[in-house]
Amino acid sequence: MEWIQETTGFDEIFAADGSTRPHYEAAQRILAGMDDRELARREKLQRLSLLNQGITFAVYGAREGTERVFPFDFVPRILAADEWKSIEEGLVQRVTAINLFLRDVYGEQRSLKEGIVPWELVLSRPEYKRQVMGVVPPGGVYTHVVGTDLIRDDTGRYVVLEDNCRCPSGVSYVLENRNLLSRSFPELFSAYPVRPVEGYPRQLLETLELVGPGESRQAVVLTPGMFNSAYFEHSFLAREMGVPLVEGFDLVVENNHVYMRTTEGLRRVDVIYRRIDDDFLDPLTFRRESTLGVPGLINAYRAGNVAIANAPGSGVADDKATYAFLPDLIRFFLDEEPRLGQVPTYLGMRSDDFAYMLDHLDELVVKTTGGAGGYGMLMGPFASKQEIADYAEQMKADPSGYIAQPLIQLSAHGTWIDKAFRPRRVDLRPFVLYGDRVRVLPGGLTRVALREGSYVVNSSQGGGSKDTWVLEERDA
Amino acid sequence: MMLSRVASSLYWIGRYLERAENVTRLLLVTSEVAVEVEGFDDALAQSQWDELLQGLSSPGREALEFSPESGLALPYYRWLLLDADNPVSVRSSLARARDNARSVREVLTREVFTDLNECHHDLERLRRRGLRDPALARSELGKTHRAVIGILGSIEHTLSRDQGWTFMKLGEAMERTRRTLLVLHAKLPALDSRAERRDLPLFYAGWRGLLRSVASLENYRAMHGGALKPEQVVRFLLLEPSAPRSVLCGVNRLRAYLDRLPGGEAVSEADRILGRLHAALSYDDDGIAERESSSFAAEVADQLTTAHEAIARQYFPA
Repeated sequence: MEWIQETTGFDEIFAADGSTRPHYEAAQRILAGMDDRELARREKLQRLSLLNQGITFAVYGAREGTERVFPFDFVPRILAADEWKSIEEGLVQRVTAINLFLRDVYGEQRSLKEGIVPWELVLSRPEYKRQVMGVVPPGGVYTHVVGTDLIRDDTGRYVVLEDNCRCPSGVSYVLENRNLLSRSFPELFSAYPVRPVEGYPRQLLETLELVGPGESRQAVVLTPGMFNSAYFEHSFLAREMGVPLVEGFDLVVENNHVYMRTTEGLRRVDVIYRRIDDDFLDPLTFRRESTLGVPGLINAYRAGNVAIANAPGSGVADDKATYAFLPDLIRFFLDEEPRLGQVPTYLGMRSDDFAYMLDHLDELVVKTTGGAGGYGMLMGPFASKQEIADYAEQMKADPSGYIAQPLIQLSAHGTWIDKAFRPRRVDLRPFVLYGDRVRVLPGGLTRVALREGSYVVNSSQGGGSKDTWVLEERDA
Repeated sequence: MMLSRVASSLYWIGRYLERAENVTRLLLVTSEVAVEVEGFDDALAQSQWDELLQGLSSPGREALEFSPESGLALPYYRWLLLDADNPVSVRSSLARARDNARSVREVLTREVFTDLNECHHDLERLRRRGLRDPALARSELGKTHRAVIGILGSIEHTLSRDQGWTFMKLGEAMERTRRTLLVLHAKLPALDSRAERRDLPLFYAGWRGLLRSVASLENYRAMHGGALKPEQVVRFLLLEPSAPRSVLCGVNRLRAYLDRLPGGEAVSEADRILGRLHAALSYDDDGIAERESSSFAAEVADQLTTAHEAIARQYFPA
């Protein structure tokens, strides 16, 4: 069985001299014991199992209701214990700072007044919600669930690509991937002390119950419905936590309290784990035409009668322009040096930066500040002259709506494609819970760009995923 | 306690699965009778299929394409098993059951969802491949029937007996009882008229077919022996409380499930309708004996529709 090593950037499995990194040796040995046909057979079983269990996502733009299996690659991504420890510490620091920042933005605004972040950057963003100014959620926690995307540069150093502070998705695949791999390749697990991930739904429920008002603690998951691309996950989490999965019209607000419509009349709801964007939460407060939300919800929230996770307005912290200031915010709020690196970022709002961006579009990755899912971005090094020219015109209409970063290689990881283990680009999205303290689920979602040479790992654009292992520290 | 929307979806999953099971079985039974008499009595074979479509309230025959190669049965197999344009086809019922299941997946067990999902994907694959000959159709039909019964088994063996389960069983009992009534309404007139023709083997084949259509032939024989007496068959299907597909058994089940649900104004109307039906079917033999059975069946089916509407008003979202 052939293993191909990546020649540009960092290879997760092979060191520069071509030797296998020690924590991948056993996996390679076990896979070498199986022939093509055996691997193909197991892969087919995996695909069928995903389809029959309905572990699928909806594709926008395709025929309504089109379901696709999220491709799964069985070669696990393995993180050694010490490697993970430093990621974990970095994430705890980062999420702590993010929440202090949010509390500050919706409170005293010291970080704006002292110029750590330009005030116009924060207050002009659509993600900034003045309607929740002055509301402090229980414990001062705004982001109960964060998914932070990490990549590795040429030297293997982990750097943050972006934070997802609104409704990060993908954790259901972390759990289902583990489940799937342990059934289809049990041999791999016998050689490694892999830290379990199955506790996540319980920890999420604990987190939600901690932030509920008063004594009662009825939590629900709020979904936009079956046609949302992440519907499987919403349903998965509700089932695993044993709480109702509700849609907007299942909820009603009376006297500033939230109720759900049940077969026995109205029942109180105390905590809403919402998987709907701020703008659609409440047509009375945000977008009028939204039919997904609950009229009056934000008033009930302001009155302290219901907790919403993540808190409305949290999106201000994961804005791609705010990102550039996160290291300074960590220093400002925690008086510590950032533990995780970042990608250098040019801001369209700064005229010098914007001029540089326009001159170097062919070597930069340009993103819209509020965007997500890989939509609306320009990959300069791979774009045609025409695409670059068109994009430049688009940018000039709203300079502050864009940021740019140099292309980071992304590390590569052996992936079973066409009868060989071929290097494909990967990222890592760990999931961070924050109730009374910050907790990180060991590992996270490894997404892999399955197309050769591709850097886009999004499921909507040809990405797949891998099971991600964090190894237990072993006594020597 | 459960969300009204979820209760409604579970009720309809119960109905659609029962419908899928019924249509599959009716298709199996009809094909056996019709294939046997085809050639011997073409008109009779055709009437079997006509009664089937009528009993299912299925859209008509005009849409079907017959050819010498297809024979009589194959177009019906395609139309009732796989056609997405036919709202009562097995495929349509399973697709709707699955859509409902997807929207309430969080209250179903993995077993129930996976069995249902797998059955749906199998039918979709079959639809893409196409049904080429009647023998293949017959064996796929049998497979589908077992798969649907497998789903019902998963529901029976893995779901807790909570309100959700009760709504599902309520839907199932409603659908099953209506199906028995609709089959009686569709088949009885022709069966009665055949008595005039004194064509005894066919006459009994017809009554045997009726019992098999509602999965009750063995049950009937166990109680009344091998000789089929038409009047006794009708009484058995209407009034025998121990026969799982009799109308009385269905009404009793509906009442028992409703009893487990929280009360309310609208639902007491459903209670009254079912109570009256129970009394009539249990104690008013003479009154029923005087009625013409086919129209009596239609009338009871209408009352069940009214009961369904009251239940929906009480528990389901507007």
